[in-house]
Amino acid sequence: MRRALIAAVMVVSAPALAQLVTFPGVGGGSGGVVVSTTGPVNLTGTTAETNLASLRIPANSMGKNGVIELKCLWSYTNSANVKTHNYRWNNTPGGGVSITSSGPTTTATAQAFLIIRNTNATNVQVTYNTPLNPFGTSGGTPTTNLDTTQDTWLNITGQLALSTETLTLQRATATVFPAP
Amino acid sequence: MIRIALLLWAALLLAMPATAQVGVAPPSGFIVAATQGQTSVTGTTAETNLASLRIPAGSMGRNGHVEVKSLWSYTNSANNKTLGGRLSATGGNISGTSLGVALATTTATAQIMWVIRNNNATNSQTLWGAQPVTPFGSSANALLAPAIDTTQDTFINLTGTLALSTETLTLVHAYAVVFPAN
Repeated sequence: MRRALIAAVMVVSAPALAQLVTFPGVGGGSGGVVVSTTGPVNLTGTTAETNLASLRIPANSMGKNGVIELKCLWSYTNSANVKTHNYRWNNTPGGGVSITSSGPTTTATAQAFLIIRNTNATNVQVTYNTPLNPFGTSGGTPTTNLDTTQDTWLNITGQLALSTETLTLQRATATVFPAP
Repeated sequence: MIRIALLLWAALLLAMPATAQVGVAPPSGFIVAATQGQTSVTGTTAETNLASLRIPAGSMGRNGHVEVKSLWSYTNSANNKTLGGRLSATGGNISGTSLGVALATTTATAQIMWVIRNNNATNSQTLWGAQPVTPFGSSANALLAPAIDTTQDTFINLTGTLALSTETLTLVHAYAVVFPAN
């Protein structure tokens, strides 16, 4: 009885993954894929890193020099405690290598923008890693090595420093701009 | 219709400028031109073409826009590294109207963006006048107003200029996306 109660509480506190909508072939042609969450996902009640959305990038949709533009809108408790947004990339939904992260504190909302570029190979990417300041000269350029000839997933996670606070992924949208 | 699209696609490939490898995605609702591999300038203080992204004739329409986003790396020093872009009727050179430049010094990388908007005419453009390292925000700078005929092929010439010739400036990757509108 006690175990069942604990299990029920865990299920209630674990956020459901965001529902997704995908638009292949934007513009009626062969190029462009948009995948987007369809509603907000809340994180609260835990300090564990938690996957909030997995956006599937279809196999071969990028090409050797194409890019993914990822835009995310967040809201969260305005406090001194860190609310971590982590952007992971993997061959499966959930987990994967962290491309970059950000950790806002005494603000209430954030809009993030990442450009993941294939650099003349389908399995070599470079990303400018300051998603809250996506243009400028302060960023680093980490490389990743995901095979984009296979389906890949952008896994967007959240993590609270204080479990009673709330972090919400309001919307995440990935657009693929293909280039050979 | 499909034949015409394929012919246009083949023509686009054949007409690419020689100074930089550039890929163009197949015809779709938008057009992507992207560099294929990085290019660098070193050994000179002259402005140097690093890539030319071709915007096909008539692809923008009277009110379409082009977004150009590029990633750069360079020597981290006090000397100026100038990251430039020009809008021109010809590619593979340093001709054309400046889209504004970014000046980099004691950092190692930069990501910049231009938004080139046709201004209710195919031969009149408007751009925000601030440095492309800050493509969003507010600025006291006047808007830029190139006047390139986009009913003809148009080129975005990405250029690099070093203040000290022994340093290096590299265009890691650049792409342009056309969002057409009439």
